[in-house]
Amino acid sequence: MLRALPRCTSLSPRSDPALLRNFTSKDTPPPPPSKPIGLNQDVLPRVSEEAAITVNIVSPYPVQGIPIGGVLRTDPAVLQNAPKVLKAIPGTRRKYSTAATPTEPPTAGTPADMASSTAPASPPVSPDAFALTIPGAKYPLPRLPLPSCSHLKHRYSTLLEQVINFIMIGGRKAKAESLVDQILANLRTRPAPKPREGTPLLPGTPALSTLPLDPVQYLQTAIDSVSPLVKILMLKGGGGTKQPVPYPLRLRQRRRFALTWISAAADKKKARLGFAERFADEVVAVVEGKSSAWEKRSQVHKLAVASRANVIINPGRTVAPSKIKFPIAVL
Amino acid sequence: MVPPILWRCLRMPHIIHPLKPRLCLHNFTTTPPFSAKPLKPKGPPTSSKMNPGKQRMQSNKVHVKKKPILVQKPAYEVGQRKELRKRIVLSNTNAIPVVLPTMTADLIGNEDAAGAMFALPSGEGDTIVDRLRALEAFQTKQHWPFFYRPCTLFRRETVEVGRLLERVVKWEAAGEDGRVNERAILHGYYGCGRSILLLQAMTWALQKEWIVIAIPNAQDLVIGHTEYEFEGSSHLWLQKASTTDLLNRVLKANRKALKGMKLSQSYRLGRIDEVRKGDSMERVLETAVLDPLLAWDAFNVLLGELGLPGSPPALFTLDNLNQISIPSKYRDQAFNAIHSHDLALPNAFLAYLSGKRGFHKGVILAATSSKCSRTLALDAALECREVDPYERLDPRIGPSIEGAQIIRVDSLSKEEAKGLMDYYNQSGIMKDPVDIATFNEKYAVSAGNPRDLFGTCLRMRQ
Repeated sequence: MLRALPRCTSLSPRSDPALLRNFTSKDTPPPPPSKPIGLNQDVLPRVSEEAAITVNIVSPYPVQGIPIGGVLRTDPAVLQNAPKVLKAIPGTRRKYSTAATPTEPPTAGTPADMASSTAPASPPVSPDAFALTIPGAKYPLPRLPLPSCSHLKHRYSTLLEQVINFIMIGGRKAKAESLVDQILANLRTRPAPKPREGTPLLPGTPALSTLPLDPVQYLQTAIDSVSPLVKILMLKGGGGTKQPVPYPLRLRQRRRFALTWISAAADKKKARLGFAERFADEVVAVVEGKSSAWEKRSQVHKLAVASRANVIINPGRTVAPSKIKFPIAVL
Repeated sequence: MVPPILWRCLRMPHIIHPLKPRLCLHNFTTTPPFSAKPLKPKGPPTSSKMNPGKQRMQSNKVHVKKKPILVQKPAYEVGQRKELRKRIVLSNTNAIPVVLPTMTADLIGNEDAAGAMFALPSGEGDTIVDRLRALEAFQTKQHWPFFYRPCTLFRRETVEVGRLLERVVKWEAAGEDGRVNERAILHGYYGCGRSILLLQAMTWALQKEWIVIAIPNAQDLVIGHTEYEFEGSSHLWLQKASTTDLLNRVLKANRKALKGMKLSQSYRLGRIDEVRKGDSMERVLETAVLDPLLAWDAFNVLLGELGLPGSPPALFTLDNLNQISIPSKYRDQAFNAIHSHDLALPNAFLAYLSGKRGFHKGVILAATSSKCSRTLALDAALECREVDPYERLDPRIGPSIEGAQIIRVDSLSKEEAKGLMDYYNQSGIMKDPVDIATFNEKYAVSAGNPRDLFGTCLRMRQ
């Protein structure tokens, strides 16, 4: 039943104008307002309403108030009794605003060397042709497809989410988040890692000197580079023996292995540093090719290559790997 | 063979050094041979197979190997952790250097510059940054280590602070005794940049060769971590160690200006030491720094000399004013908490802030802090509101800041925020381009608060 429904509803604009809010179509005239029926049906209007009607009858133009500036200029007695606001500035216009919401005073004479720090104008609403098709819409519709960060629950980088959850102990997520922030700040302020030959960093890694300015990239380079491709499962073989079987990992699983190794190496550091500093140290060591995580990775890969004959070829089986009595490849 | 030196020894008179004790050498010993250690008794026979009793004993015995007790090295040396905590890094070579104009003294009170970034002067042979560092004007959580060099934003409030300095320089609003003292308190929300304003004022004052006396964190004076003693004549509690530290900072930062100050009369420091008329103030402080017993007297000499005509202008600052508006952690003989205003250093500062004492030409600046327990009396005094007679507020707090101008430090205006975000972008720290959509988003999220704006621009998550 659930599968039958589409995973996300279409975001294309609805063409039915009657469904849009605050909009009444010209084709369908609005229903006539129903008259109140009851005791108050045909009562006289209120005093003020009646007065307005009378004024309309007497003179077609409503009586305008006398401009206060003129009175103030002519009559000194009025000026004496005038409220403070008017007294301070004898003109009709105040120089300051009494509005509840403060407005930005217009700045005059911005120096020429401050060209970069000019005030940004209010966001102009682009006359998008698409938006104009929807009557009453002020802003255009968002561009589709929506970016990956637009989802409320998945707005941050998946890598950072995983690192945070890995570091978290006892459900203290805020603590873990601040630790990750500290790690990133540490990576920013450290000197750039020195490239070392023979370090199998991920292909496509940017120049190492640019990494400190992008700490998330830094962390990702380290974690994705040391993450193993496979894990070794020890499955029961024939005759009571165990067969090492390499098993491929998904991205998240691979990153988890890398994180375990990096944090294990960080915990062995002798200098009594804070966790964030230790972890950041280890991330730098990974990128520079000095970390012990590399040895663990090569160990796994070596064993996987040695036992490549045991690889389960038919991955379509639905039986959980732990339930398999012996590797199918051996058969 | 007998060496010839022996004959010489006999012939020559024996020279004994007056201080060194003569070594007594004896050719024989009077120790009886009995006191020597006895020889070890002979061990058991090597073949133990013939001794069944011992075998059983060995088998029943549970061998518990005692671990040798290792004397663990302390994790940190004494003072190492504090040093790490207070270490201030002012540059980051990873960041891209941004070409900015220098914050020179002719910008004081310049309204046109508001909204632009300025670099602190750090050219060849310019020691302003080092002197600011000596005054502890930089703080650890002000995000200095992310940028190539220390730069600050010139704000509307900076103009106001500059006006104070300007008025003193131009000798405006002098009192009847010919003194100019501008007193102000910087007050605002958390992270709105009060301490940075103090830093900017100090930068200008140091460039103009004023004498800058700065108490970087008033909390250090009241948490009861240093020694204190009662002085009978003034009924104040002196903190000589803290005063020595303060004088040390003042000396490091203002050495050139202090060298030019000559004493107008002779003073007595402590019981014995005396400084004569015409000595430089630098000498006085150098003497006092070495001996904490002289520190308080020397500090008073410095303040007194700054009040005389002909002395250089002075800037006296104190950060975290709230901390000296709550009871201190010190106790008197009857174990009552000492009021913070009874401590000598806070008392001296507040005397200047409230106008009881004054420099000849000087600016007194205090900044409040948002990291402090509630200070209702100070809040009431800062808001200048009538106090409810049933409210139990500390009656000494209000008069202590009376007459000081209160400068409201507000959140950033849009121009200022734009200038700051452009700087982040040019430093290579903030990756997003500063277009209108990004700017409005970050400005709205941070509500123009500088600290929050930094967080919004730099943190991967908010």
